[in-house]
Amino acid sequence: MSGVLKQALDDLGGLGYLAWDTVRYSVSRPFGFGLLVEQLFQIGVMSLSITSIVALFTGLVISVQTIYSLSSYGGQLFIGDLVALSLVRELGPVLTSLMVAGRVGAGITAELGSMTVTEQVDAIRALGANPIKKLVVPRVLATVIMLPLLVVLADIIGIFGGMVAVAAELGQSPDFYLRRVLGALSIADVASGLIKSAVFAVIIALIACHRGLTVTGGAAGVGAATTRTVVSASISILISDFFITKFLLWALV
Amino acid sequence: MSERAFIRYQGVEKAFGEHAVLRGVDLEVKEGETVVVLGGSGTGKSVLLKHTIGLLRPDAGQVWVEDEEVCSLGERGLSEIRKKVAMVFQAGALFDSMTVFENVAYALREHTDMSESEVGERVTEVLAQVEMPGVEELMPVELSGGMRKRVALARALALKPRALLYDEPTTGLDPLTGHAINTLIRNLQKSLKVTSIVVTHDILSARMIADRIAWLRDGRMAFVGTLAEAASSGHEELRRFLETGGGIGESRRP
Ligand SMILES: Nc1ncnc2c1ncn2[C@@H]1O[C@H](COP(=O)(O)OP(=O)(O)OP(=O)(O)O)[C@@H](O)[C@H]1O
Ligand SMILES: [Mg+2]
Repeated sequence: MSGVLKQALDDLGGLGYLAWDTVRYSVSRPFGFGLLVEQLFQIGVMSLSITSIVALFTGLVISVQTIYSLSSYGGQLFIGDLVALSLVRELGPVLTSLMVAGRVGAGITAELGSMTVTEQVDAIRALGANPIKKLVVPRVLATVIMLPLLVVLADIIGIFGGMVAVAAELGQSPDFYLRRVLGALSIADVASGLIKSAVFAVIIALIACHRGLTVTGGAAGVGAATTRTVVSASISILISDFFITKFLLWALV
Repeated sequence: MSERAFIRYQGVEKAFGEHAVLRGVDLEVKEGETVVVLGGSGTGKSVLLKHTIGLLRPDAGQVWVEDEEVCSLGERGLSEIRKKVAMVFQAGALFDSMTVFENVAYALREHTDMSESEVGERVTEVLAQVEMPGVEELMPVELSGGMRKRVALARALALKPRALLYDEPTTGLDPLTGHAINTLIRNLQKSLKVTSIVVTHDILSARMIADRIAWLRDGRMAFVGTLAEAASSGHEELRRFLETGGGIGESRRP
């Protein structure tokens, strides 16, 4: 037990250092624009298709569920409100982040992990460059920029999915549905979804980079680290979601 | 060769968790000299090399490069050391997301403000030096093991370092390619007067390039001296190591 605890504290300490170094090196010169653009592309484009599919079906399923549960109370008119609020405030950010943790997080750990075990990370240092600046900073920044954008896209696709379901099941007009959606959403709702996803992005990218750079034990070690990244990033997202939600409800409302 | 020590290890100790790898390594490498470090697999040869340029920090002891103590240096100081002392990694450690050109140009872009055409010239020049002309646009995965080692060497040479650390430059190569690499190392010694530390299992290679050999055993230098001294020394195990040497490189690994 004390071994597990010690490991956890070591990991937290390592993450803390990495976070601090990342901040330090993201403001140091030269900026490394090329590396950032490459990662923006990798991380953003890599996640487009899965994010869209997940969002579409989430939108479909929440509206089908709400139609079912609200019909006995005669609440069909509010389906647009419910779909929009649950997607924008909660499901969009959380589900998209979980998918990105699986796709991007695993990708980062696998890439940095194999660079670590093949001494490429040492080689970066031996050539007088800094691995945090070259590898971690572009990945963290790119995730923080791309994840909120993906979440906005997911929100829109999900709301569209809801519209399709409502039109098919109830024959409600898209025009009415969309007016309910826009009436229900406030700036605070959208902001809270974006703030959440930015925090999740930092969590995913830092955990993934940290696990990648600390891999030991060859190819098997890379595999194990990749799995652990997905597990710990996902759990951290769900746990921090609760606290961020509480905080934002207090701060924004 | 001058009498001045260019690289000096003093009581270097390093453990990973419970596992003590280096237990007080002392070694001096003079300017222009080539020292070959021999030792069984897993005795800490790569670990020792990494201490030289601050990729690892010792638990105790000191590492000197000229008159600077490596472990006491901050990032800027280390960067200066790494310009002077370049390392060729065990499996090459080429960046596999970059072309050969970008690999070799890496340190030039990091440390100099050369123009693109000057960088291009220097890359062509060092690739010719390692007898690998015209591979600039290939990716590392397209290279054979021997070619990778040469490109790795070219990358290390790009900044004209004064010392080179080679981690098993011939391991895993066929004898002819291995011989070609050894010849290359010797020519670099002669033409550029670089100080070298070469870690190897390959006794032929040691015979070809070593001014002195150092034998790492149980975390210490059990023997340091010329090959002739080694052959007549009382170290039974080292003598056997030297006699059976030659082709054992890769096959000694568990
Ligand atoms: N970063 C590290 N973390 C933990 N243990 C390490 C690390 N680097 C090396 N070791 C351990 O230190 C010991 C020496 O490793 P090293 O790579 O220096 O051996 P070597 O002498 O170069 O062997 P080989 O000839 O096989 O390359 C090994 O037992 C290895 O497991
Ligand atoms: Mg080694």
